Amino acid sequence: MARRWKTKPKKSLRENAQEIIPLLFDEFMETKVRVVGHPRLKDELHGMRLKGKMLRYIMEIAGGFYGPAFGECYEEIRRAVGLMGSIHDCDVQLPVIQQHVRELRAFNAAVKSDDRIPTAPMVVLHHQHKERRNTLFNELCGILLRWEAENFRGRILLSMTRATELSQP
Amino acid sequence: MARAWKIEGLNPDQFLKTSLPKILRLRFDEMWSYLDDTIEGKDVNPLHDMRVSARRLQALLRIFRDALPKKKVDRQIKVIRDLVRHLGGVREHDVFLDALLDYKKGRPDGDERSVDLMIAREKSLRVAEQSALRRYLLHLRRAEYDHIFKDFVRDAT
Repeated sequence: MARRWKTKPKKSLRENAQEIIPLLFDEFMETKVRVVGHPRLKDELHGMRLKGKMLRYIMEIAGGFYGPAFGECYEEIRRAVGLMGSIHDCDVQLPVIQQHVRELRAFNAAVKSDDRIPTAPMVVLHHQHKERRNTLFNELCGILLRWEAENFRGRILLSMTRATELSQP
Repeated sequence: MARAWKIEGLNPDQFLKTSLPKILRLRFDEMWSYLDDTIEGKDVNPLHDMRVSARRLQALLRIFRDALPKKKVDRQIKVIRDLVRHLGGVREHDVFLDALLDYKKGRPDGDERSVDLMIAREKSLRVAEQSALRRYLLHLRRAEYDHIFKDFVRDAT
């Protein structure tokens, strides 16, 4: 997908940030509806997370000159991207656990009953991981939906505009 | 996780072409500061910190790509992307091992061979990834990639 923003070397860092951050936020939120509506779409969630990281790291720098209200917005983005990272960890680990259980079952089927390895601990772990993923996912959806309801995008923009106005002599 | 280094003396009202080199150099130094400890590999934290710093740098190179010479910046993005992948290859196992060891700690006494096998497997995969990462980092250090990157920043801005 083509980038929507273009940085301008002959404009200031502040002016560039002011143009880029809303566009990066829009890119980040582009797949929100699909992600929230389809908890199993791992790739969409991962793609959204990668876009969120771009936004997070430019906001991290801009936090140095946009003041505390902007800093609060940055913390929210950081939290959401962090949650996406924890969900991604579950998405990576769940198939590995599942495959391990399959292998253990195949092994158990081929040996005498005394030599069998109980799979229950791994089955429980798989279950716990799934539960954890669901909890994290619901928390993430709560944040994304709240952002929409509270016009979080507008809050970011306003914090940038106000800080810029205050910085003008 | 280590916090991002603060960019001292950054004036947001200067032209981007003036402030960008400062930002890129600092983010690079931050990443490079974890190199030796990551190569040594005694602790998992420097590796994690190096990975986060490398991602920071990678994101900034991508965001400000238009303000830099395309071919040169793409070459740097590729190096940093490969580095992030190598670091991620090890980190993935560290995260999983942490979860497995935590899980085992909370289990009642019993036949936990299935968990032990998984832990052993993850440790063995980690060793392989760590050795590939170490080779890549040694290669970067031998090639004096820090000089290469800083020359790129100086010439590009």
